[in-house]
Amino acid sequence: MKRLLDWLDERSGYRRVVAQALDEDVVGGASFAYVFGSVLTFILLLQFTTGVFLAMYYSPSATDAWASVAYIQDTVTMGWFVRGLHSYGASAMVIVAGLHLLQTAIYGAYKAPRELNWITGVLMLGLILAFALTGYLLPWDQTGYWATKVATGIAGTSPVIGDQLQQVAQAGNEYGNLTLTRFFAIHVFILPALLIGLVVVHIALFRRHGVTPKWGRSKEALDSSTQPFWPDQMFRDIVAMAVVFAILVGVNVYSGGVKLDGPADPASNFDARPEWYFRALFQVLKYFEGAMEHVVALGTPVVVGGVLLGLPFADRGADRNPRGRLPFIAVIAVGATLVGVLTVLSFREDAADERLQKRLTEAHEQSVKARALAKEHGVPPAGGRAVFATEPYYRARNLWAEHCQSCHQGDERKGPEITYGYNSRSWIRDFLKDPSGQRFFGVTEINEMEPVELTGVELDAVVEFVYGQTGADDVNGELAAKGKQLFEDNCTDCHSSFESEEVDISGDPSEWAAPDLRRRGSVDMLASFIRDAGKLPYFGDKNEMPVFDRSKLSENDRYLLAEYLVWLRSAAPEPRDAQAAQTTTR
Amino acid sequence: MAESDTSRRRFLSIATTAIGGVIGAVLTVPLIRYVFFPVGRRIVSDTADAIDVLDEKALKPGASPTRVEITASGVRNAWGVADDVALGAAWVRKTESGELHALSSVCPHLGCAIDYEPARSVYTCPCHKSAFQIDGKKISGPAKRGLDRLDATVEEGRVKVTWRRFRPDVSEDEKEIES
Repeated sequence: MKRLLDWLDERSGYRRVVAQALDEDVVGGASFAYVFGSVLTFILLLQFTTGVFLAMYYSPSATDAWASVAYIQDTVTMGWFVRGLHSYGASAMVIVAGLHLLQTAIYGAYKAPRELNWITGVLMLGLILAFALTGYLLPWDQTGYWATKVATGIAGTSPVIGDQLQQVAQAGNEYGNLTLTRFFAIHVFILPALLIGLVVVHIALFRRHGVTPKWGRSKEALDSSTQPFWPDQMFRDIVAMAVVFAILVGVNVYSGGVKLDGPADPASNFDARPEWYFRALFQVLKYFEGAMEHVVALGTPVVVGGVLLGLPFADRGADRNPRGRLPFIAVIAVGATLVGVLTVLSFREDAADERLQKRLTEAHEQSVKARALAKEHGVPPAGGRAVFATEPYYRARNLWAEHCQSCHQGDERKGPEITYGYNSRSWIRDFLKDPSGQRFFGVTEINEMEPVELTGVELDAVVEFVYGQTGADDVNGELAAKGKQLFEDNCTDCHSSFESEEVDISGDPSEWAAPDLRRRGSVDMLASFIRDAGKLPYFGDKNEMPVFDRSKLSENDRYLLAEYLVWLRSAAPEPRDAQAAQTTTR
Repeated sequence: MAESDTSRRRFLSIATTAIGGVIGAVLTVPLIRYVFFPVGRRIVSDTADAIDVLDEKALKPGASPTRVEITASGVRNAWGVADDVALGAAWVRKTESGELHALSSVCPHLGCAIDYEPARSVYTCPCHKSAFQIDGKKISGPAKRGLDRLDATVEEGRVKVTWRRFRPDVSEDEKEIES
């Protein structure tokens, strides 16, 4: 090994390069106050690494972006981990950049001759926020889509060039494929190139001027306590890196990765919220209306940037002690406090808004469902939103929601409850024991049926007999035959007897006692029943359910609904439904 | 430099390197697993169903083979699922005795698409000039086996072909891909 390295060094001189990189005097001694820059460099490398690896599975197109991110999140081995590190890493970047800025501001490190260190730093902070803004759109999920629309909308309100600016930013008149390819190119090529350039300049300037030790120490004291960068400062740096990395990994693992909302849906009502580091700006816009809103939205970033860039030229005294520079420290302190307060206010207002919380919960349920469907069935070519159409009985579910649900589910029902397990053995048993209960006819005018007083095997037998009418393939024939006998003995005062093949429907609907139970719960019977539950042999004049003839439902749709109802019989509530109901939004 | 300073710096150097190593490992192991995720998985699905390709009457016994496209529905491609996806192509014909015969158009050498030359009644590969008889047997060229036979049947007057992929550039005995 030694010989190989010697060989390499003779030809490349790498040892001198490494030595030059590490041999640096830290005037006044190593300190944890100086770790922020190194930690930022570390997170930047982490972002580059995870970003490149994400690009391995990501597809920047309006139809594929959400699907590919959902694939990374839910299917690719460790995909959630890599994506989580990248997303939480962006937050860490903003936080550590803020701390770096505060540390250097308090130490007065922007003073001559280090003005350019500070200026390149402020520009890099702008680039970091640009990274965050462009990266937020890339998953093409609801949050990213709507929040970024607001951002480009704000750009569109710029004076004179607003319209052009917006069209350049979103690449066209509307959000689409070109918006994504543009944001992607900016996020993965342009911004990294600019940032790397500035980092090189920033570090070169730092190496030229060295660290800015704490104020108030004499030159002799500083010189006598000088330590080398390697390993004294580097050890502190790497400890800080390890702490940040451990927090990142911990948060990532604890939260099971970063959230992914449902696919972007321009037809939905989604509450656009920016990432937390833009919350202050988001909040401040609530306090202004009309033209002022535009002025504030565009002006705030300009003012903040201007103040930061101007700081080294305003605060020019030689004294770096914060006490001697109170007005300047105050500007930074007030600014930081304002950002903090606005951010907290924004989150508190959202938390107190019950309707918003309800919508967020619904949005979360949608995202859980969309991701489960995408994992199970894949996403159709029409794009992320089309994933919902891969759900079994998708059309029937929509028809159900439109025509049936308000009367058959929930607290304001007007008819028997129909949900998972409808017409299963246990549903039939519950019905027979309490037909006029709230779950069944209790919500209707129908109250003539007495509870079935059979018990034990006899009740089982009648249940099996009624269940057998659905055409289910797991019917116990022997038990059902026994049930049929009990039915004939006990129930045929009202329900038609099964002794004849077909039921006589020539009677008067106003005198019809009870529905005929032949093939009850089969597809054909349900389709016919949905069409007109008041015709014989169903409920006659006792019926309260609307007619769903061709003017409301095509025959095909009625059959789709009937098949869905039959499917419900043996379907358990989907795990994701139960899961979505329990988990609140993150 | 004092003795204690030297040993302290030695310790710091080792500790720094060790911590760096741990960070690297915690990052590298997941990334390697992430990169190798597709290995051994059917990222792009195909189908074991017999695919309807054409009307049986279009094939005359003894005539030149006809090129047909094999398309399938419900094909998964990583995150996507799509219908009418082209999986590949096949050459189908009826022999003099009326027997149905289908060959994959994938060259068994390195996977180029095979052409048919009616004048010479041979299949040729446009890439590396392997040539095959009309029944698929190899005549010349770098291919290590003849063209791959596909199962073909007639159901209700329609020709149906079952699409399969084989390992390229190996002999007939080694070409099966276990799934």
